[in-house]
Amino acid sequence: MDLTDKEYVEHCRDGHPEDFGLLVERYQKPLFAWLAGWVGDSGQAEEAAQESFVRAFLSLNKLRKPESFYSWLLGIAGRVAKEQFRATAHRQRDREAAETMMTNAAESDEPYPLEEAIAALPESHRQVILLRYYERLSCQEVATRLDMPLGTVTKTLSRAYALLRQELAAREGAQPTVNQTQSL
Amino acid sequence: MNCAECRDNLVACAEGLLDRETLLECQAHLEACAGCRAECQAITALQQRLVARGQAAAEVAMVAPVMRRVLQKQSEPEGESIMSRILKHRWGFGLGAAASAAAVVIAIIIAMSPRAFGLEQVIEAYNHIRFLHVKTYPGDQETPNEFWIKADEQGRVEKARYYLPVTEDGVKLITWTPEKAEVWFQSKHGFLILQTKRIAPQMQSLLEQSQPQLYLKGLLEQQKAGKVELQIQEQGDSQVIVATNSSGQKQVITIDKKTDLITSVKWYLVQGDHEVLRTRTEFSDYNVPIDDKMFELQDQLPEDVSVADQLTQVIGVPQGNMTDEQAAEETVRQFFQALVDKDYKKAGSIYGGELESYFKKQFGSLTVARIISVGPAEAQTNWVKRGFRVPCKLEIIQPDGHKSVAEPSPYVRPGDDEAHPDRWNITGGVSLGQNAVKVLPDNEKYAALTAEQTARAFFEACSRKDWDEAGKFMPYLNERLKEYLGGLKIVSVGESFTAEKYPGGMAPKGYPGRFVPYEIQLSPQEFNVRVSNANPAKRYVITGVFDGKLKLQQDLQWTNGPDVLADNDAYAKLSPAQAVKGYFDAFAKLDWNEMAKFDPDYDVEHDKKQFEMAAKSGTDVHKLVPVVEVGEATWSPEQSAWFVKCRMSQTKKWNLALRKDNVAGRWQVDGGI
Repeated sequence: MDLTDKEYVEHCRDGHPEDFGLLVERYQKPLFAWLAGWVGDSGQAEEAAQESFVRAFLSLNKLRKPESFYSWLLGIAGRVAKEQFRATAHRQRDREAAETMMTNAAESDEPYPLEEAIAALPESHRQVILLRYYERLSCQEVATRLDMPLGTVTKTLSRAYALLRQELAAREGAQPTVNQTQSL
Repeated sequence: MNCAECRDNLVACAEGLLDRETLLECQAHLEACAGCRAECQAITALQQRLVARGQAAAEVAMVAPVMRRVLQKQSEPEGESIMSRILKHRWGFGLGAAASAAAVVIAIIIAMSPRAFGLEQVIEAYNHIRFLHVKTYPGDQETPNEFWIKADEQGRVEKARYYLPVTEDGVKLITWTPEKAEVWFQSKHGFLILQTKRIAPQMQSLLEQSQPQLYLKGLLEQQKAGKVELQIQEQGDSQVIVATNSSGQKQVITIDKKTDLITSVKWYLVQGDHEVLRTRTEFSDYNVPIDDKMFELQDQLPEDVSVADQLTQVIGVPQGNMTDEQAAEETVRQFFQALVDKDYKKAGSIYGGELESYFKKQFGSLTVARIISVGPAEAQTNWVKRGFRVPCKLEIIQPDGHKSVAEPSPYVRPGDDEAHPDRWNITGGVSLGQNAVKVLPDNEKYAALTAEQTARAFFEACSRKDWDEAGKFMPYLNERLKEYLGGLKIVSVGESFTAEKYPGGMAPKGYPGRFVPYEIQLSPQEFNVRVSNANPAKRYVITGVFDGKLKLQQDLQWTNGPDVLADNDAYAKLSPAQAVKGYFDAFAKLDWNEMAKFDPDYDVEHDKKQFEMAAKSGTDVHKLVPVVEVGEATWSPEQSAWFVKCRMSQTKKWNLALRKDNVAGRWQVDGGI
């Protein structure tokens, strides 16, 4: 049975660091997708994702709300990506190059990073979305994995879609992408 | 179909889960209704975005590299010292030893390709296996679970027999063929013949666990995905494969070199600073024919066994002339009336033909006094055609005579029995809260306790390892917590406070319970200190720290010294145990100079820095000093050194979360352990 983020975080803190692997397993794909949307290069995105997880692990005892692990992880990843941009600029001695990268990232096909909207979902809804789309399980497989009736899975998906659309409409409607990305 | 029904069905429709009739109705409505069509398009567009994001990340597999980096960070030498290892619990984040143990495992894994040995040839060897006998020893279970398997020429399992000596139902014997399963509840004198969708996945899972070739295929897939690392060793007549995943789980598979067949698989978990054997499985009697009688139980039954045959028994409630709503309500009414009458056999027959003993166990302790109301039935057509939920109210009498009202809302539908599609059965949702906090026969005594008294009583029960008593304060006390809390000593239990004052903001907003600050001393941790006097000063100094099972935790090299001290003779006279005691006594006084007479400078320096930092942050550093009991010393000829046994007490200081919003009105431990 899958545990909640909070339970995994508490297990790690209680001397079972191996459980961190289960958090990595849960969020590696959405985190990668989010970072790839930014940096445009899958190698750099993977490196940034790994670095973010490592930093998250080392700072786990500073996480005030274990149930918000994923949002917190995105925050860390945002800082890692920013450092990566700076390092690139530094290496290239070309500030413009980094700024171009940031602009390109902000103008990617994804109007607003879905993963941030997913982070705002209640955990039960988020798990179903992650398993269905990032782990690419069928609804029936999600039901088996989470030990819930198939009807509950479709209902949860339905509710999650509604919440995601609401969240995306609010954020995309407010045209935040370029400014938000640059302010990170 | 109206708009509400259509929208309820949109997700199931997009997922291809609707039956043909509902799908056509849904499509017809969409063609006619612009609003629902727009809704459907919006959902589809979002799904497309999600699918694209998932596809972009499909190949990502970073658990192993992340965990490797994490472990590397943890085992960096400048971050370690003798005391930071020992003090791992006091520093509040017990990662050191577990991480280093896992790091050792990974470090051992050399770059030897498993393909050189060829796991495929092992899988191939199983193509000729028709019969197999398997024994598994889960945890500390002494009597093994046993499986006998007969496969057909294509290697598909034809028949299986399972003997499960330790289950919630007592001793269980199961036989399985694709046509039916037989379950003999030997302790309960019950026998069930069934063919339900529910049992098939459980059987499949058991079969997969019992078939080594499937297990190996799984390992190879995991290896390709970077989720597991494989190492191959030769040991006499056997090949040994060590598979380690990033979560510190390790499997050791032994293969007979002559036959290429697996003889055993052991599963270990790296727990704390050592590996714990979780399960052992032995495979034997390859191709030793098994008599077909082994897969038939019915002929062997004693006379007193009650038999429930779901293959021949007609289950459920007939629809007759009732509408679907009426049939749903009638089915639920009959089910709960059966509970009122304590007719568990009838209740079982309306619940998909479930065994009488199952319902007796589930509901026997409760008295359902009367049905207050049933219905109206609410259609659940979004997930199953003609499915309903039927909200009910029942009057329940608890064991202490206390009356309460339960409001279950069972799921009910027709057609579960393919031979009788007109009969309705309940499929779930009948819980009457019997697994929630119970009203105890002596409930008043417990209900009168304050939060502080409850916390103390809970810890006292843990201290005695009286798990029945501890369970009264924490119904979900699991084995892991029992292991952690068993034998603890209470240092202090403070005054409770509410969530508003909770430090660190970890309590959910509006938490209805209270928090009780506590300090407990957990069961002592054993470790060994290696000392040697093979040095110019001829006195015993610390050269390494080992865990309770003599696994190296930290090697302490003396690059400078040890120097000959001004009063060297006095130290040279100390025995190995006295030297270790001298070190810990100096530690208790935070006498860094004295400690450096037993421990290398760099290690002492590290501890000193840690303590200075802790002092700066306002911590009472004397509370961080370990309480170490020094035991006897043993000579190790292999290492030419003495090993001194030590026990260190660990303390935990935190806030126990308790709440009492339950029917029993007792404070219950809800977290903070």
